[in-house]
Amino acid sequence: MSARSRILTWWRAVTRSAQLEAQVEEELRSHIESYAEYLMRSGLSRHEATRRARAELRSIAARKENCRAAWGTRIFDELGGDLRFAMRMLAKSPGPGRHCHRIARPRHWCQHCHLHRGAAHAARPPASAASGTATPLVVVATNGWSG
Amino acid sequence: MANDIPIDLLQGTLDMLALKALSLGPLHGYGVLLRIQQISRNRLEIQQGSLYPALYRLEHEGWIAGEWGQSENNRRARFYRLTAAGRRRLDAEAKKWNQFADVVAAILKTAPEEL
Repeated sequence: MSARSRILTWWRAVTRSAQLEAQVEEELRSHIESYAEYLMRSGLSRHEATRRARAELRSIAARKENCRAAWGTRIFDELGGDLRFAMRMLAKSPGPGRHCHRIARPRHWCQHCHLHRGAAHAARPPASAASGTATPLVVVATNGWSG
Repeated sequence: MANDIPIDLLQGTLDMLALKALSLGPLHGYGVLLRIQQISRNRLEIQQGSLYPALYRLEHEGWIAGEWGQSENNRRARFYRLTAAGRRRLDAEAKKWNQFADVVAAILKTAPEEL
């Protein structure tokens, strides 16, 4: 049944993502090798045949992404990407007590800090850095919006 | 000759052609491509990169099932076969496609005096 199959492939893609990606990669490589052999039979050198076969299938990474999208896991991929982005930004953040001097508007995306700054932060003067108080910074899990 | 010019595949038809190719017997991904080209006598231009997302989409829908096996070149390959749901889907798609083709052909054949 269609619904059962959708849930199964989706569940496999979510829970066994690395294994499934390795399988896709193996399948694409097998395709490239078969196609390269066909091109070699038509007179191309192995190097040229492999190059052309790869070019025709385009980037394996991009194909893998499309294949994952076919399993309905895009929302998880995007969420994962956003979380990784948020973690990177947190790691790069100025830390408690430090303030970005480049913006003062509340709810504004700071290109310098790469953080979404809440109203509470904007209301506080930068001088609070000296007191060592932590400033609440809101990391937004999206990279599509900037102020 | 105009008939020998490769035709770009219409959007949405690759799924139906892959189902048809697999209705003739299990195949690995590259085999699906070869079979479509063989049946069309190389008149269809298929973007190889779009084949696998189409196969995974069909598998996700339960219309085909894949399992690992050994190819004719002793290479590990994933073989796809049509499921019962896939056969029903292919029948429905083929019917829809034939109706569409009939309508378009009728429109293209219309002469001014017929109106």
